Amino acid sequence: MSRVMIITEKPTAAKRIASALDDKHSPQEVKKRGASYFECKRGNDNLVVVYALGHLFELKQKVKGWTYPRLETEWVPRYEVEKKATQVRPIIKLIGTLSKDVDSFVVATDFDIEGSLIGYLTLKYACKADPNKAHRMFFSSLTNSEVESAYDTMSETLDFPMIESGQIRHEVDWLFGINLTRALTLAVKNTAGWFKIVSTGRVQGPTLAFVAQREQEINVFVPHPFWVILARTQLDGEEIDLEYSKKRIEVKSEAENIAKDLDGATARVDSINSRTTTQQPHPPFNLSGLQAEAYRHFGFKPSRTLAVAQSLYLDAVISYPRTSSQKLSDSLDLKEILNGLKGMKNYAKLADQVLQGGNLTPVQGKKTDPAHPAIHPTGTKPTKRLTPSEKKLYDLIVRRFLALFGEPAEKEHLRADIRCNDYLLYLRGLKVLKSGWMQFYGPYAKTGERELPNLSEGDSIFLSPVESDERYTQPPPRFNPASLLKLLEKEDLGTKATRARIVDSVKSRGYTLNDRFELSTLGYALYETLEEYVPDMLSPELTRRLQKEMDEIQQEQTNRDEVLTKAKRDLTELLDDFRSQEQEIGNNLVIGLQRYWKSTEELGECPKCGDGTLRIIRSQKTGKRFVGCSNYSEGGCDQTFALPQKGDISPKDEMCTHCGYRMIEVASGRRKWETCINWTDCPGRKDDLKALDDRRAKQAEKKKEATTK
Amino acid sequence: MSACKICGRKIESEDLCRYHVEALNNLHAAYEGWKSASGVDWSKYLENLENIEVTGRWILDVVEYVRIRDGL
Repeated sequence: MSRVMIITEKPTAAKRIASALDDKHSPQEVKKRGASYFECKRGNDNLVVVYALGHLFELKQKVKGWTYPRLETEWVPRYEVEKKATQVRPIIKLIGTLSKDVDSFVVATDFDIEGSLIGYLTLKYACKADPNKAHRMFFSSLTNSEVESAYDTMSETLDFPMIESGQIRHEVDWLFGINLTRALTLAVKNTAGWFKIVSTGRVQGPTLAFVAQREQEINVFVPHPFWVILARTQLDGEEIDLEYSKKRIEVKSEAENIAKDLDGATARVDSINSRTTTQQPHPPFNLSGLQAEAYRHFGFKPSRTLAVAQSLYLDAVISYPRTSSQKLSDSLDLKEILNGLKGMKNYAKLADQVLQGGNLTPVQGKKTDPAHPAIHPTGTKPTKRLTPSEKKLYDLIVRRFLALFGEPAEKEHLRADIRCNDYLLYLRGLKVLKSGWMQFYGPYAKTGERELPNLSEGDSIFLSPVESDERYTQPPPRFNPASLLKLLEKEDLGTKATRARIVDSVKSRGYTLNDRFELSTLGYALYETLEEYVPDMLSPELTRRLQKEMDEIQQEQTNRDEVLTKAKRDLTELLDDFRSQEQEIGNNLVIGLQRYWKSTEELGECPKCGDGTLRIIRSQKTGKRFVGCSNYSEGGCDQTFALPQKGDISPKDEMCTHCGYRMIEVASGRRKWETCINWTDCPGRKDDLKALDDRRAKQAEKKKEATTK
Repeated sequence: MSACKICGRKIESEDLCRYHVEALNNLHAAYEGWKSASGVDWSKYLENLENIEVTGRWILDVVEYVRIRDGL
């Protein structure tokens, strides 16, 4: 009889793993002073399943002082560097106590860089055990069968190259993030005396550069005119738009002549052409593919998709989501998964159809990942009621999986060529001949089907009205969370686990203004300053090189000490360069910050005293925000306006057409609306207020009903 | 004076910073295309750009700058 400690990453994973490994699938949870663990029995082994909370240990500088450079670090319990992480203390204590009475250790964290590092650090610092004697379980989903198999075939050693790579990633990110952020922040403090954190990092800097460069392209964009021909006809009493053969006409007079010649003329159907195409199913999802598709269909930010997918993984209903692979491994029991889906009401019919079809060879993509297969459902029924977001994402993943076994879709493209003298116009139709895989992908497959009107060759068509319409070329689009994430992936910056967070950080730091990644004045100031004085901080080259070296550690082509020494040397050079120009850098950032605060917080001259400036202020007492006058403390001006308490507020240049007060934009989630700061008294907004009252009353009623039930 | 007449940034040439210089160059470069496409003169061209929603922010800045400078 031996006592084995199994280290997992999270409480939910611990519960699931304990339940899978227990002979009766009924482990006992033992609670102890703010933490817990699971006891279970498997054959002759007594298992103690403990959990971390993500990272229990973080890096901390060895030498004290909020300054730079700080190059030496050590791993310490997370609560020492993060005051809020109080729940970590009892967990570390419990793991330490339990580990004294254990014969062997098994790491069962997620099989990726972070998971391996969490397991290693927990072993080394919480258990004080020898990592060389520990074992490792590898799994790609938390289903009972996979967890049991991972336990039975566990590796004799930990995945040390992955651990080394994880350690160096943390060390390099800490070195660059902490030192560069302090350098920028102190440059502002030493110049203006303000303490405002101005952050950057190894990947954040290049990400800001991408956004800023796109913004510059948009700012210097000159639209060019071109003209299109808008032609209409009536067929069987229905108005129909025709397409002119030339998509854009570069000269106004030419477009006007065409419109003049065609308007009121009779054209003839010259020919009707048909072309059939086939379309293969899309490949299985990797993380970035899933994030892009979830953004397209549900508007989920990449970080939200990752969080929802993680929750589905912990419920064992999908495989591990942090994967680059677009391939399903040969060892997967596809039939078992399909049979599992067959047992679910929503997918029974479709899964049965796949099983009956007999083709169990899925379409595969090109990208691979040595650690995990593409994201797929496990076939296990959810143990809890899924949230609406989980339901949506799960449906997308299941349907994509089912579609992999579908036949190619067949589409017929029809085009009627309509002639009038030397002019050619088209009418197009699209018919799906065979839906194939699209029937499985359901609402996520866009067929684009449109019927071609009932026409025959030789038919006459009266064209009216026909006009030329002036249009303009468009600037490149701003990024959205999904397109920025895709660019980072293409440029090989960050990892699949960190990119979503980096994309979010550009906005949360105030460098962009909204979900369309419009650069803020602060973002501009930081970008321009770094570009002028320390362009290496924005360069993707430096971070890409570091990334490559970290990957080489994982492949055992180089070692951690070598990479770390080199990174410290590069950073020291960068910081020396920075320090020699600190005054100029500080001045530029201060100007940028002043502009930023002006644009985000100031709302123009106070209408009451005419002397002060209206500003968005947060009450220290209540935490609520309102508009107040800057002349309050000195001049005693008590002018205030109420503000909506939810959402991001950005002042606009326009004034209210009803009352003349400044307009603001309020963005809450995906909802955006405009109002004026005088909205509670504005005569033009009475209807809005009434609608708000009605909405509140309805919500209160619903709440009351729910409580009564 | 070392500050851009439009935004206060460091000047590169012609009293303008490098962003507004680039915008001014783009403004001039695009005029020939506009003239041959729709026959507009310089003044009408500037007016058109001011009324198009997608005209770049720095282009609008230099349109105003050019109007004042040339008394248009």
